[in-house]
Amino acid sequence: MGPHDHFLTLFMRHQDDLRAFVGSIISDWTAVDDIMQETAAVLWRKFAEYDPTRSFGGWARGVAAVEIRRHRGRSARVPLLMSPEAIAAIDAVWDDGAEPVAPRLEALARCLERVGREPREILAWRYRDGLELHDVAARSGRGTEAVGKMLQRLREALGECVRRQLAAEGAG
Amino acid sequence: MSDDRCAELVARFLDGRADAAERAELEAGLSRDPAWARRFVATARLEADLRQAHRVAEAAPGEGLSEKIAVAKRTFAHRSARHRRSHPRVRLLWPLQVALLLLAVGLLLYGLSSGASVDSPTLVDGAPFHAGDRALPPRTAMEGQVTIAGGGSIALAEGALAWSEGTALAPVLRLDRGEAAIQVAPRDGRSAFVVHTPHGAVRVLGTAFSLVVTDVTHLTVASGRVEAIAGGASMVVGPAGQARLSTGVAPVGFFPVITEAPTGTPSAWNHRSPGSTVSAHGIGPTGRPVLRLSLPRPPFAWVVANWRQPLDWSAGQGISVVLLGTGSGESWAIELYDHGKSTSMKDMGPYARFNAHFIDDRRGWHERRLPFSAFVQRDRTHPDDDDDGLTTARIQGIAVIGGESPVEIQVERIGVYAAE
Repeated sequence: MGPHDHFLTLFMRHQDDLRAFVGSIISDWTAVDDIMQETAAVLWRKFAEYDPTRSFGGWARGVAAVEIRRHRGRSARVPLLMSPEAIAAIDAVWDDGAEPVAPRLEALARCLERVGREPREILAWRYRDGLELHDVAARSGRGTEAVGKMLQRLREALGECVRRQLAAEGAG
Repeated sequence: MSDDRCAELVARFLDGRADAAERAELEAGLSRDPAWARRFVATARLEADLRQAHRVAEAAPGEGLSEKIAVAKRTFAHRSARHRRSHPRVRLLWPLQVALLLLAVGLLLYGLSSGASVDSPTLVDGAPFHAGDRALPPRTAMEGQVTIAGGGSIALAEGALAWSEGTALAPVLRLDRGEAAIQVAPRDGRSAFVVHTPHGAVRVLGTAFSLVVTDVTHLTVASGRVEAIAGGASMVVGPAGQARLSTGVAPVGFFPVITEAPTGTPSAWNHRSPGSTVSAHGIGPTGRPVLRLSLPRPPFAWVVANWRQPLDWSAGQGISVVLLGTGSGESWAIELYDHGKSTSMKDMGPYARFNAHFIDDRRGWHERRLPFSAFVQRDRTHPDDDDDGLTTARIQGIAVIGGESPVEIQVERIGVYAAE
């Protein structure tokens, strides 16, 4: 396998997690896309320096953290919501007990089918249409705090449902 | 601190609701307690999975979510067979992520190495927009004329800064700057077409409208209905309606008028109280000239536009005035003159005057609608004066009257609206 293929393999395996990492620190999804592109370019450029005995995901997150700071320096409108210490704390546990993405998404899809019509709509506006929380609130006719609480409870229920599904699959 | 507090702070942070104190509390918890950090990671990962799951649901409508994922996987397995043969050890986990990845990495490799190529058949099928035969996948800068997947077109003016986003089934236009004229075919059973600007969003199921993005976003609807969303509020804008979207502020609508008053130039205001002036001041929110009415000598300073021939406004329900509110709390008035007989107006002509007051209690550009029924006659002091009410078929002029303090009132479109 040449370096292109090797890089592609590793990047594809870790891309979703890397995006989730960047997206947890930067709230602007356009900026997340830009940072992902910039991170991919740097990872490829520096791929010869990558130590294959170490985690590719950890290396990629380190590069992404640098790109986040650079991007923030160029575009002050992108809010940097976390201190470097907090980002490091998140990075340190990021891989702890992470399940592969495919079974996780399949479990989530099954869990989503159990959600009622109205909360399903709220989820779609937030995650399909990418609306800000206050815009979801305006559309639903509820207050922003109420919608935030509703989403928090939905996420907790969905997270628990996914864990149970994955545990059952593992036991089976 | 409790798990509940951690969950609350993580949720508030990821939803963009956390204030500075809550962010500091969360950061301290993350740095101090790995359990907090693990909770944060689990929630952030679930957020990313929810976005991914909804993208897949959009890409394969009409089935349950788990079936959609299965369909997407089968489709991808078929399409990627050639790719897997040439890259046998690559495990392709997810069709859409791979499509996006192939786009990003393909562009990267194309730029960085000669001869490297990536097979990306799903890109053309799933592109939200096309320019001629060329697919415009997500994150492509767009210019000129483009077509919308599912029907419709966008004409981007020179200098517009626009990007494609979304999928063929849920196309999203991001218009960062400039002008776009947009026509959307009816999207029966499909996701609404969405335009994001720096100030808000516009959702539409099938219509024609235009957007101008400067320091605010101006929306003008030609036909159909559009939902404008900004600042935590939304409003529906119908045919010939307009709206102004500013960051963090609810959309401000400007509704159509059936006829406009001839008041758009300083010279149209041909009678003024002592010291009052009228000057042009740029373009307003509905694209018409703004007039600055300076009324420095209160109380009740005024400017009047009256015209030679009476105008027939009997088809309307009232007067619409687009003006810049100052939030002063003062009472201002609009006055109408009909072609009657009034001794108090003998210096201007044979008119009777009627006025309607409103409180300047809003800041920024907005529309005031004053029904004709709200206008009451003033100064009927002579027995020969008319006493027949406002005759809307013979309107002879209009005045703007200030309050008890010196004021500068900026007005734009003045017109007659029909039924609500």
